[in-house]
Amino acid sequence: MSVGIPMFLGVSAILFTIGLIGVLLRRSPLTVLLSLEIMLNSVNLTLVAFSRQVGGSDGQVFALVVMGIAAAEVVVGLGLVVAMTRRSMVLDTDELRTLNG
Amino acid sequence: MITISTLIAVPAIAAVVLLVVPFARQAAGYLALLVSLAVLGAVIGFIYRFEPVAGYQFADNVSWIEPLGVRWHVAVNGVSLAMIAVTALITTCALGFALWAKRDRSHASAALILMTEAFLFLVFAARDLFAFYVGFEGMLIPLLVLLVVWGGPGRKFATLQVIAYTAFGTLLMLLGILYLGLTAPDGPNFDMAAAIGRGGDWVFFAFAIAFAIKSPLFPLHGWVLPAYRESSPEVAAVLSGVASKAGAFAFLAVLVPLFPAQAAKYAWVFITLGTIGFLWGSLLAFRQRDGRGVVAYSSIAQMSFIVLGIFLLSDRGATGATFQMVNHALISAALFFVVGWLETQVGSGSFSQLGGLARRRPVLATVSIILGMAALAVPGSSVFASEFLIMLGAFEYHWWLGAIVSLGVILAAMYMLRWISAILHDRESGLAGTLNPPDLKQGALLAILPLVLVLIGLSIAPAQLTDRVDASANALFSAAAKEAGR
Amino acid sequence: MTELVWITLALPLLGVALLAIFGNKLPARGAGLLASLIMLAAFGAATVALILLASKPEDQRQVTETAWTWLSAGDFRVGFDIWFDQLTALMLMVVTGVGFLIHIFSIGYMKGDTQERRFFAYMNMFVFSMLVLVVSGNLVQLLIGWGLVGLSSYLLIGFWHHKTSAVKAAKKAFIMNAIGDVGLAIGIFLLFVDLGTVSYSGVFASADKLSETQASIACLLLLVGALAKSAQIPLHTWLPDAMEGPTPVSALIHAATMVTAGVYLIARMNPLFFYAPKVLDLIVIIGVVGLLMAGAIAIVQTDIKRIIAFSTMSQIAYMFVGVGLSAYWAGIFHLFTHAFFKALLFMGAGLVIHALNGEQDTRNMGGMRKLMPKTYFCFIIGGLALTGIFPFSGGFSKDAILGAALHVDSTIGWIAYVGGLLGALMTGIYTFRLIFLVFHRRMSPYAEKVAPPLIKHHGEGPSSMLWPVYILALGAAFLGLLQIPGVTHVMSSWLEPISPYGMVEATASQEWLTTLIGTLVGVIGIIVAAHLYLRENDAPERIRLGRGRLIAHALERRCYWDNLYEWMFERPVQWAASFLNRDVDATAFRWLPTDGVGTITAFFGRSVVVLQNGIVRSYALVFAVGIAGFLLFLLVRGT
Repeated sequence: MSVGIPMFLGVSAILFTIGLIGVLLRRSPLTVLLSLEIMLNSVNLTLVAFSRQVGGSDGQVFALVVMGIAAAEVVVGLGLVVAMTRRSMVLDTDELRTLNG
Repeated sequence: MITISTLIAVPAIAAVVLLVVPFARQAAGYLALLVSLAVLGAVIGFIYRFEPVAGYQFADNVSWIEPLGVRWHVAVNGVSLAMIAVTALITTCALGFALWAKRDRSHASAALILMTEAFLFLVFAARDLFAFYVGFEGMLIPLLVLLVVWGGPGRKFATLQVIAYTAFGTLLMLLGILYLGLTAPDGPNFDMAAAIGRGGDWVFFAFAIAFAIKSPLFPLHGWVLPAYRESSPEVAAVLSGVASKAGAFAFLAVLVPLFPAQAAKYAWVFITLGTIGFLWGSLLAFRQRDGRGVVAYSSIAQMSFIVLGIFLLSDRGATGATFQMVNHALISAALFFVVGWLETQVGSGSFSQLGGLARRRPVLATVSIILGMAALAVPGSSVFASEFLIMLGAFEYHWWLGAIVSLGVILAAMYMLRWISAILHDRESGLAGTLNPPDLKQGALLAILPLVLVLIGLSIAPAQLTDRVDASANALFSAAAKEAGR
Repeated sequence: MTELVWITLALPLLGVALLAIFGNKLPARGAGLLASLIMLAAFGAATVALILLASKPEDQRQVTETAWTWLSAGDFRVGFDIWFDQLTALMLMVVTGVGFLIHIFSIGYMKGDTQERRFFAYMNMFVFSMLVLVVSGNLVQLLIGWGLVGLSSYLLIGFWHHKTSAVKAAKKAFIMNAIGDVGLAIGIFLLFVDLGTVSYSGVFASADKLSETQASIACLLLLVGALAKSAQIPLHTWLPDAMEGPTPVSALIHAATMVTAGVYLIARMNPLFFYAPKVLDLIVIIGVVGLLMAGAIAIVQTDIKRIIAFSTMSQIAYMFVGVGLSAYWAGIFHLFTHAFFKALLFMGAGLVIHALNGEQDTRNMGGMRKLMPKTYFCFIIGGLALTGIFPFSGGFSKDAILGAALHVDSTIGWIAYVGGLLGALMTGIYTFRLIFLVFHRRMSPYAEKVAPPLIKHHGEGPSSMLWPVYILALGAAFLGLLQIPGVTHVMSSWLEPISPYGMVEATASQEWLTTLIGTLVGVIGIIVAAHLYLRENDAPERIRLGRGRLIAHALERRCYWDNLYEWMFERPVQWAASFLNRDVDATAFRWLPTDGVGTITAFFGRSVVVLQNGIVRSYALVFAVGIAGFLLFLLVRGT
């Protein structure tokens, strides 16, 4: 039994939704970052799946780029979280609203 | 032989010299006065050499900014020469008044006034749109510095107000000028003669709004009161006397000849606004509490009236408007000197602090009454002559326009009589009573007297002026009048 | 001859210039002498000019000359002209002659005032303005003279400028006159648009080209000017207030200059008014209403000068009736005699006021007859002339007007006739009421205290004040003899050529009849006045508080004209100006384009600022919903 494109897309959609719900509902920056990673990886999955179907390698290259950027993003994000902890700030995205109007 | 270019260059160079060379305080003022007197003499020479015909004379036309097709093209006709003459006279008087008032940093203030004069000459003489723009925009720079450095307590807000208004207007005009200059059929060409009839409605209004703000034409007069109230008297005299005339002059000498079709088509807009502005300004002048307020609103009224005269597109309207520009320049400058003198002597221009000054001050009383009577256009005065022409033109346009406009004369009588009485009549009260100021004499009087004498001269023989400008004025509006079918 | 006219015109201006420039080098007395000498010279020049004109054959008695082009624009050209004919010559004589006497009188009257030079400069200026008006050969120059007269009157009425009431009166006079100027100006515009000319000769020559409507409107507008300057209904309210000026000024305004200008204008423009018969009828009606109203108001006034002021208004109304009936010569004749007897009355009043140290209220006078017999005698002559008793001058001239009304024999004519006679009755009452209140009865406590020492010290006045009064008294008594019906006709034949369409002139029998009735009515008026006012009694007061109280109240408030104007114009204009200044202009034109733009932008900014709440999750939600919506849109559109 070969795993068809619809299966990949289905898994990808489920992962993306989980990630999105995580971003929208969780207030801990750490969890938000995790959820973001899930969303990115769901996209990666889609890219690789389509790439295999089309037969080229463009999609896989894209996926690698996304991973690289995701890694960089996590570094910045975790760095921010560490910095916030050091300054003993509340780790709650709803409380971090100094940029409101 | 002195050319128009020299006329523009001399005050400009003198201004730079005064700014750079560290003259002693009084010397700088006297030097500036001397320069302006020389310029005035040269202008009188031009009047003497002037032929009362329609065309432009004494032209200088050389290439200026080659790739853009910008030329240094300056020349004068009767209308612009009249404006140049009155500019030279008022600048001289303003420098004289500044000298009397002993401004601090006098070399800078004198230099800036001279610079304004140079830019104004350029506005009145330019025959190239780009050069015209340079003059029109450029004169604001020295005037704004004069306002913000030597002005009254509310000068910063006033400056902001002036910038907000004029920057908006001139920006529109710049777009219009660039459009006209760059779309010329044979490559870029900014000459006014090449721009005739090429602009569409939006270009017309881009120019018109800029001129209306400068004039000021109702309803774009908001900057006038703060600017006239906060500037020092000599700057207010230049501002209301001649700088505002740049706007009205541009209506007559730039807008109407360059856009004959639009001028004919939209004449009614300006006639309506002019009528409203005339009555509006006159009515509001009646309710001001200080001398400057009255002069400011009467200026709004008079300038609106002048624009009305220009857009009648008739002989009476254009000649009358030109004449009225000269008259109003002389009167408003002189009135500002009187008000400024009062402020220095009494410490306030507010009517509640003045009064009763006619007693033992015959010179002040005589000057104030002559000016007041001229301003309200008492029959026989030069203002009467010019207003009579404009009203006759309005009446020829339509009888009810003449009738409505005539109401303004009664309002003018009301506010000027109030002005005279507030200063001269009743008992001495307020600060005027306690300080007991002396009579108007020497320094300040010397700044006012030339203006009064010219006014009296023009009252005796106004035809001396109208005969000289009639043909020129006629040439400016004739194309538009043809379009309007008149 | 024209040179003499130019000299007459230039002399008073020279006087103004001399007094203005060298005034403070002259001794105080010198200013008055200089001004009077100049007036004498002007009078001399005018007299010689008149004689020269009279020596010409009758068809050449009209000369015009232009000095220079005053104003030009296209085909509109106006010169500084003179137009010298019979009417001009007569007016020049009146203005300079009576003006001269008033100047002389002023020397004594103004003695001790610190502002004599300014006063005489203004007086000369006044005469100059009136001369510009009178000699003009075109309508624009007429308007210039018209305006300058208004300016001079402003300066002179407000001469004592430390008095608030004087300044107010001066402003009122100026603004009322400005309304008249505007009316006149619009009339001139209309004539120029219709006829293409503003010179008298041009207008007269082409007046027949006007339709009756055009001519009527033009004449109506000219009439507005005439009404304002001559203080007729409805533009008369400035005249009584103008009494705030020094008494010689009142004499000058009322007798020789200013108020007569309206009559002069109508007489001068008679070839135009000929084409507007309805306007002429209107002039008669205005005249009749005016003479009755002013006469009635004069009966209840208490200020000596105001009584005479209202009598002026009433007498000018007679002149309006005269010119309105096309009896131009009669109107001008009355103007001529009126100049004498009115100047006489004002100067007499001036002498009394002088003797009472500035007091003008008749209630503080009384019994002056014994102290001032000469003044009393002259005043009686003036009073009789004013009342129109035969054979004093006013009688002849007034009866010439009324005779013309009889001669016209139309409805308008009868209205004028009956109204005029009724007016004569009132004239008799108010004139002699004034005389009785001032010169008869018991002396008031104030007069008893002030007058005797002053008169003991100075006499009735210096000779410079008395002699002009004597001369005027002679004129007031005898000038009527120029025109005895059926015997002499100097006036009517001299002025006859100024109207190309002929003038109305009553027959001798009509005039004699009118004279008889007029004198009778006048005498009745005097008897009524004597009955009520000769001795102290409470009859006038009883009428005032009793049956006549409504009328008395109306008359004392001058028929409410001032109140009407206050509520119709003054207050609305002030209110509108305040409202526009405080609320509209400051908001719409000064605040809105600068601070306003910022404020409005900030307001809209604040209303959307809730969207930026700083909560990252909500941004993400918006983002997600947006993307979802966009995808859904693609999906729907794709099918």
